[in-house]
Amino acid sequence: MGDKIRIAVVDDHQLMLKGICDSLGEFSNYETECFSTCDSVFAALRESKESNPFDVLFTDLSFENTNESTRIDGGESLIKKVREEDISIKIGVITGHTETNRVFNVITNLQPNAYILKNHCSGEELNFAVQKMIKGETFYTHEIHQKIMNRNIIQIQMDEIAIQILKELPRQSKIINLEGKIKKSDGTEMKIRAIENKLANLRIDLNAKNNTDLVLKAKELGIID
Amino acid sequence: MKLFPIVFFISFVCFGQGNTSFDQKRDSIIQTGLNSYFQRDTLGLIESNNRLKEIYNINKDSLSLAKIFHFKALIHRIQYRLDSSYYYYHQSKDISRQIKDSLEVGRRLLSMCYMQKDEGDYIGAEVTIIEGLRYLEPLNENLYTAHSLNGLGNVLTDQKIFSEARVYFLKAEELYKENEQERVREARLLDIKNNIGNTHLLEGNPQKAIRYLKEAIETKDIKEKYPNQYQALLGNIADCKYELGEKKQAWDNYRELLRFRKEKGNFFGQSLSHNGLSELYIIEGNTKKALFHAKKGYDLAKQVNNNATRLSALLKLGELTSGNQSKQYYQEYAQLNDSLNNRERYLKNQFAKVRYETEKKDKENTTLKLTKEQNEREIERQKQEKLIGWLLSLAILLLLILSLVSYRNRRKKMLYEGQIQKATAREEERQQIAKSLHDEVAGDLRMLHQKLVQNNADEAKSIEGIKENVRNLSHQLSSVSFEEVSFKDQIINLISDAFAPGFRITTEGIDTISWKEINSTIKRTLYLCVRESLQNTMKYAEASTFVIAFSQEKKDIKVSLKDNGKGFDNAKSSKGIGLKNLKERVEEIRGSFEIESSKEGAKTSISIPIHG
Repeated sequence: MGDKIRIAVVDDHQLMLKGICDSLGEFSNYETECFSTCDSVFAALRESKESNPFDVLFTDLSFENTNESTRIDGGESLIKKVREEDISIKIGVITGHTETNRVFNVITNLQPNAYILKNHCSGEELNFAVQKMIKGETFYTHEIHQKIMNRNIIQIQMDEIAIQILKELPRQSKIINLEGKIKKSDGTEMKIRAIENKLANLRIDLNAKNNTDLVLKAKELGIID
Repeated sequence: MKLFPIVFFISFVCFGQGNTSFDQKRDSIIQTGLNSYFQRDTLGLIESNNRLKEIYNINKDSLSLAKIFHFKALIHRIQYRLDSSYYYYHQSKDISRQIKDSLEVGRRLLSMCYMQKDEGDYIGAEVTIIEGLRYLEPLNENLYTAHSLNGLGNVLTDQKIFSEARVYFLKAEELYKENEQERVREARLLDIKNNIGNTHLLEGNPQKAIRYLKEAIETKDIKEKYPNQYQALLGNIADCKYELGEKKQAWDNYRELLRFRKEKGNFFGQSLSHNGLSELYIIEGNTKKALFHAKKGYDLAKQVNNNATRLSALLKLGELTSGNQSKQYYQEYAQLNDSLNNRERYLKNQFAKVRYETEKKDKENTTLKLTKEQNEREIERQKQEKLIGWLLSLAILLLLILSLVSYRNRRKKMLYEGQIQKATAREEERQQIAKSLHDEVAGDLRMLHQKLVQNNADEAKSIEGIKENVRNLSHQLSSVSFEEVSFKDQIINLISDAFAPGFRITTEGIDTISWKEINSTIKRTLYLCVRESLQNTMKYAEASTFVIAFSQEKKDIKVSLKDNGKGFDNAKSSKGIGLKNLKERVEEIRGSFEIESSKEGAKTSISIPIHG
């Protein structure tokens, strides 16, 4: 028992809840508990915090089975509460929400360890997600990954400085030569350190290995012509 | 026997500012004029006065004007028009007084005093000279002050107040002693001694008188240097000696005096001498000689207008002659005496009148001035009151306008806030519906779909379609949580959702607006507009570019959404529920929402006021 990974799952749709729990139950080293309301799962997490803590929490974002007495009315509030209570647990989101707005809000504000979409999720994917989470890594469903990538591209497209750097980069043999060529929106020149920082962030956002790769990726993605 | 020097303008000091050519020119004209006066040159004096007038016409200075009046007085004086002369002295004095030229005032008053004295107006003369001294004494000036003190002494002598007269003579003497001009000093000291001696003589104390007179007459070269003083002294000494019974010596002196006067061509003095000798011969009983001298005295007195001597001579002639001749002399005496008395009275009256009228004028002027000042003050006060009134009404008007404007603004703001509140309430309602749609309807459909998938694939597909529609509808109605993410991020998210190969979305000016300061209802509305327009373009327009341009113009936020698609038929377009819904939302918060379409694409323009 002690070696098993303890997983709590909460969803307002019984069918969905049962499906997830069943899928996780196929793996012998997981001990899964199912909850239908945020309040009940939060109470269980808090109670077992010292004695027998959960390792992973899977939660939906919207809950419709709320009433007057409900204290925690959705996934976002639940995640916040858990963090406030200082309960050490990995949190994964399993939801139907695919709008970038919702996805981005949840990912930037709550930083869940996983974001999984209900409609295409399978037992293997859940298992893979749990493994990654336990290791301290982050897992996003492919579609979500794609969305975040798209978003980064759009963000770079709207970032005039990033566009300037990406356009100027192929023309210069050395990064140091960029100094004085990049102008901020208020007309002042950008310092070389700031340019280097920006480049590093761009490489991360576009998943590029080096600056050459970055320019190629930017061209490929249509960020620059 | 009284003799008084009439020379008051011996040394003419040029005072005032000699630094301009005008002043120099004026001073030289004044000097020339005064010389003309001393030589009894009426024409020269008139000429000088005319030149002064020219200067005055250019310069308009009070000093010149005072001198013009002074010269006029002198002209009249030469011609024995004493009342006119007196009048102009008065005018000149008043002008000098106005320009605070005390010395000139004192000098004019001195002249006026002697005129009054000569005409027997002793009281008036005393008043005048005392007034003059009031002006002169503060100046610490010794010549004219001394002249005036001497004059006062003479006036008092005439009134037979001898001891008091002597006090003033002594005071004058002290001042004359300080005079630095030798000739002036010596001449004046001789005058004083003569005057003091004269008072003792008139008081019936010839012994005391003769001491003063003798001391004076023994001055070296007196005949050459100071002939006038010599004559006066000699006359008085002779009188004293006669009184003292030293008749022979007296006679010698009288004859010597007459001889000296003849030598000097002093007709006035000669008339006096002859008249005096006649009187002595009458006392001695020498009628023939008495008659001769009386006649001579009478002729000379008539010639030089010495009326007092003429009168005295006439009386003697009347006594010394007989019959018709005597009668004639008496008649002439009576006539002359009457006319002189009349004239004296007349002049006294004239002097008084001039003084009275000037004083009256002064008073009137002061009264006028006061009234004028009062009027001016009154006008000033009224002006101020008017101004205050204007300012007050202006302030009230401003206040009114201000309160009206603030009232209207508040009303507008309240209305706007009410509308925002309404919009928020509707938004909540929409959210509720969207949530229900998404969670309940879509959820149930999902369950139904999952059940159907196992049995009938075809129906499952149609259910899948319905589910998709419901989800879209729900998204159209909902506007998700806005509080935690910045507007720019929301827009980026929106564009990310529309990300597709071959479809390029660009934004302009999103960084030019400080979104934090914009009301969240406005931001939500703008977001929904962008989303709706973007979805429409993606669904129907077959466009390859979509431009989102933000801008702020004065108090409006503007967004223009443009694609390069095929456009839509404006007439046919029934405006989908999404667009209708949006237009409504924009208009709820007083914005404008317009769509244009052409073959080059569609353009949506939204403008929303920031503060109602």
